[in-house]
Amino acid sequence: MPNEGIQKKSEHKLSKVLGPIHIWALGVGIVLVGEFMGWNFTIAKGGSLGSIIACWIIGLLFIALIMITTEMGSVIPEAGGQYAMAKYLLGPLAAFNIGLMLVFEYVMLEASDAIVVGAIMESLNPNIDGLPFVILSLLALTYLNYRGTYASLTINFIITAIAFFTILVLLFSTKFYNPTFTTLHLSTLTNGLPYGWIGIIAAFQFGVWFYLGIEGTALAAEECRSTGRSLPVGALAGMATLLIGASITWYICSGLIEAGQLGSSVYPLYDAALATKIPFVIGALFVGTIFSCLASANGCINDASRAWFAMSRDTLIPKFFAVVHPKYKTPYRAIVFLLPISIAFGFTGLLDQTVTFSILSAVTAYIFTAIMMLKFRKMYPLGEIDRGYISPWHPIPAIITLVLSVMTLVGMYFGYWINIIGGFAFYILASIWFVSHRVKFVDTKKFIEVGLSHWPRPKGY
Amino acid sequence: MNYWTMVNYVAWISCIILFLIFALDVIKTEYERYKILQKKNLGEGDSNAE
Repeated sequence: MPNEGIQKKSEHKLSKVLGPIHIWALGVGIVLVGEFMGWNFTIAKGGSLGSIIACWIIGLLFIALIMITTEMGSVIPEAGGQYAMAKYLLGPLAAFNIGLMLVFEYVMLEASDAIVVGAIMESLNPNIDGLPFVILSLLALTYLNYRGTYASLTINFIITAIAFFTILVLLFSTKFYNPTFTTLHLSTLTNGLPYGWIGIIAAFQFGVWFYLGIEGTALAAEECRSTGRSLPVGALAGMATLLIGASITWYICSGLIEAGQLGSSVYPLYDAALATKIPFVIGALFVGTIFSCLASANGCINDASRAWFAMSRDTLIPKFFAVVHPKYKTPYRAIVFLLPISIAFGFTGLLDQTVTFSILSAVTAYIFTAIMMLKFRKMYPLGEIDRGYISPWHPIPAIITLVLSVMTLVGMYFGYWINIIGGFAFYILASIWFVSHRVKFVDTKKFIEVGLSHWPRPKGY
Repeated sequence: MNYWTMVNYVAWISCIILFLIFALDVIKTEYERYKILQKKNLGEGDSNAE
């Protein structure tokens, strides 16, 4: 009965269709929304100078994070990203927690994006109800993901490129290249550091907005045609795009809007467009804001479902979800299952709460990622196994990731300490459920079977 | 009824139509999968025994 085995294996395998451009679109698509809203709360926390300093310091955190996830991701070509790394490097309990953190990072971000789409629609006219647009955007994007990875990420590439282009439209509309005629108020570009250096640390939490989710590129490792090439090229090009985009965004918004007003704006780039009083630019930024939200939600659905699928395939959660669509080759049960969760959080309309839980989950996963990198190089020193990408200056990137992630959590504590305690309580309760009920269903030999067939047994294990 | 209220109705109706299309697609997929598995006498190999 060999065909039965092939049939069963193919049910759990995703199709390899993605190239570097899709990885770029997946990474930038998820994150670009952070430049259209959210990042400006850094100004309220640390002033506009504190904001740009936090933006660059957190940029360092994400460059380091991309370097280490890309190295590990290029070696572990399985769906699940940091989750898949954790299962080989830290064991089932840590893998379960990291998988759950990834799922909630992306589901909460997806709900936040949909809430913003609803809010933007409401801003058009007081008679517009945002709720149907929240549900419609989540339903449409989930259906798109259900129908196929290639199509959904190709659309993501197009709408991400358009959204990024609208930022450039706004930049050129200010005539920034001509100090005499520019509409940017260069003399009042910053309000300095009103809360001193502590304000910069407080700003870290929202500085994460500029890049949150870029590491999700590693989640698509299994679907890359050439993981060793697509992952590093796509992810590092994405990071460069975001660093440039973040700096441009800060420059335009700080130049057009007064710091006090910018710190509390819901749509900073759209508000900056309104300040130009040019109808074409205002229209372009309206479209750009909607597109960036849709691109982000689309990428989040992709990443959250891959993490859930991978956890199910490894029996950390019921195996019911580990089925690939017979025609579209997508993890359709995982995609469908996560839809009502994101709609439920979208219904609440509590943007700051969904965003904070997303950031908390992400930053905690980054801490685990740094620990995994240190362990990975110890278990498999350079030269022992083939790597698609080698992260330079080890262990500096892992240490930077560790230190800056802890500092971000400290920054979060200043305003959202209840959320931190609540979030950790949730993961502790989930761990108790896993240890007391689920762990007996985990086949530990099968759990690391794929890795063992690729690599030698590590020294000391 | 003004123009913007109409927009709300269109959005809600689109939600319902899309939901129905999506739900039917999922039900059809599950049914076809069930039939194939039944035919090949594989049973529900991918669901847990617990």
